[in-house]
Amino acid sequence: MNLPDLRRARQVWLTPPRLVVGGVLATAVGACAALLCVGNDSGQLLTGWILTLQNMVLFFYGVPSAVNDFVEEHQNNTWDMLRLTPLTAAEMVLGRLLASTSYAVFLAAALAPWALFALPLPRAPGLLPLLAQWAAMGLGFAAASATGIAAAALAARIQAGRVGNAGLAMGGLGFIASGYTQVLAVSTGTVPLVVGPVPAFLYFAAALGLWTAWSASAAVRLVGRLLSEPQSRWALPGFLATLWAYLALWVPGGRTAEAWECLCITVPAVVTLLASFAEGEGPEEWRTGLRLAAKKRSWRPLVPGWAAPWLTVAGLAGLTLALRPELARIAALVAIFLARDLFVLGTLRVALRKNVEVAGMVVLGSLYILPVLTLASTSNIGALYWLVPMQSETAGFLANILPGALQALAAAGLFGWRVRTLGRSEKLLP
Amino acid sequence: MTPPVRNGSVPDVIVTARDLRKEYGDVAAVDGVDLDLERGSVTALVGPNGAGKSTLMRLLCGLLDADEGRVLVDGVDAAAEPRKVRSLYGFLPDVYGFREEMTPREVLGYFADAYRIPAHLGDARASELLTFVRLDGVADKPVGRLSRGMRQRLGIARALIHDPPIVFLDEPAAGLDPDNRRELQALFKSISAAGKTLLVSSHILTELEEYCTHAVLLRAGRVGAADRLARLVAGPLAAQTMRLRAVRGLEKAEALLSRRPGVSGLEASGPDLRFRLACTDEEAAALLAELLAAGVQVAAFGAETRSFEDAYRSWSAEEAG
Repeated sequence: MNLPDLRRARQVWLTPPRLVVGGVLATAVGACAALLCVGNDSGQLLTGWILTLQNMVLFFYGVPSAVNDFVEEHQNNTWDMLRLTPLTAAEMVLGRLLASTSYAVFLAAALAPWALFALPLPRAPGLLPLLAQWAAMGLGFAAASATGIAAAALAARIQAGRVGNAGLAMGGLGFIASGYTQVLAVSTGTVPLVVGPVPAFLYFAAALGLWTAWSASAAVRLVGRLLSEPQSRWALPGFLATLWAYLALWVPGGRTAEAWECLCITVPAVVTLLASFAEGEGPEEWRTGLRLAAKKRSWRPLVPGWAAPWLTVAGLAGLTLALRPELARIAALVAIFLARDLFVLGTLRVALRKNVEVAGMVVLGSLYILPVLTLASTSNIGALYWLVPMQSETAGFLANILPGALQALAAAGLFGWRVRTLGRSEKLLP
Repeated sequence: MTPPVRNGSVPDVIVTARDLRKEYGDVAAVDGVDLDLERGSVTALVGPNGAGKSTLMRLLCGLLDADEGRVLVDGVDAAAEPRKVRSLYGFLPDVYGFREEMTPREVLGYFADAYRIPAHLGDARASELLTFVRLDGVADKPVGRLSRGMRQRLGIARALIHDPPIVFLDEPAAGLDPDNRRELQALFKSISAAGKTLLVSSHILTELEEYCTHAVLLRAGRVGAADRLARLVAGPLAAQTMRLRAVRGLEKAEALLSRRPGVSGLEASGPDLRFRLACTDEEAAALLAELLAAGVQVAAFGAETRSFEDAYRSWSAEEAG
């Protein structure tokens, strides 16, 4: 394999100062976790902490890095330049993937000794289950990254847009799907197949492996051959919709309920990805589109971009309501909060010219974290956007859906007002 | 473009395209293009915006798949062996972005790696090219701190890293000041002198005329005209403004020409007559014989000298008309 991206990664990302800082940081965080876990269950607790941290690093830093890097390379025309070289498509994708995620993988690896340190401690999971969990983590990470790259390739062909938080959304999807599988590593359950009972973890890890293979082949195909070809706007929604076929593999495993729940939870991740691509054009073009739409009193130019994610949410909400009414609350919850977040982001994009992403993180972060710090600490009804089902339906409704809906309405009103003001006050571009 | 065969010699063609088509939705970006690029030639690819120049370049070097048609590069079918064909090209696209934090030396090292050039040879080649494009003074500065002209020259060095026989340059002079454009011209002449085949798309025709040997005029995805540049500039007499200088018998000549089919825009200018002539070379020769037979003492008879830009404008006006 010829992977020139790795040489570049060594020059840009894996510099000695960064390695030293990352190594020291990971060791210090692991030490803090070990200190917090002193007690009877310290082995289980510490392993759980370390695995969670590794998952966070890989899925919420590694995957977004891969997707963002890919899009940046596409905009720089580097992919076309690489396609003129003797590199195979697989080498291009693998090289980029390894390069852009190398620092995240290094941080996760630097945490690993603490999981091994926990093995002799009370109620530790044992080496084999730990290795199995790491394998599932790696599979999920590869699947989410490859899907993100393939989806970004489709989106780049559609509108050459910027990715925004799409990589983060894909990381969320991988985190949830891989997390479900990892949990099964310490389970003794089996899946009754025609060939006989198969350990549940093996079955679900194989399903995850299928997703990985499917997404990797899609990434290689898109990057290697079709990247520059024009594409229907619906190719990306279609591509991502097939992703959920992976969840269908959960049904024979007797995990229909979990499959539905996972579907409900992962939909916002994918929808956010779609929405990010839909809004992916540069801020100036986006503003111009909005101004023209406001002037013409027609939202049609914006419909195709917005319709795909929202139709997906609406379809899912309807399907869930019809088939699994007890989970409809989750679908409603994620749709409401997604709407609020998109309107808040939209308002910020109209109002600010710089650092929109930073402002978005601060505002949305506050909207999520403040209730956790206030409501959750003073009551037992759970915080806003608590995805797990509430113990009390009424409390869950009052704590989540109603305030969320009000916030979404307020954000939509603010967005609409700002767009109308923009249409009146600013001179339209020719 | 099929260059004319001169003195029985067969042109050595390195790139051949036949009936090349590429559609984007309902729009034919490239519509039945036949093209031959002669080995060692420097061909100007010109046409209005949206004529299909970039698409044609990308089709020829295999970055786009053609809907129909065939491309042969040095005898190799691009559809059958795309990777082999692609590696015969060096390409400077219109967007030539680099990672801003990388240095020119690192950029070239990276692409040398991609072309599987052993590290020591790659480093030597990178140094050689950095000197060639006069970037040796900034070889270790981040690309983000280089001027547009320097980045363009780095793009050219990148295109040459694997010593390809064919180099495509898409709008290489766009956005550059005259000094930088002159430097680029000198570079292109050096690359051409090294025996490479160049295809250059540009709107700056005066500069193309300085170093191009052939030209292809593209409009709406079709080749409108293609030939050696000198012949295109000289043009068929049909499209030319002629000048006749007579020592005696100018009135006779004027009367004869005014009656002659194919002559238009006749005007006297001192001892000269200027007119547009729409006829073949043979008919023009017959006209000269007729003038002489009528007793006109011809001192000079020929097409007015024109530039590539004049020729392009004339062609463009004819196409539009």
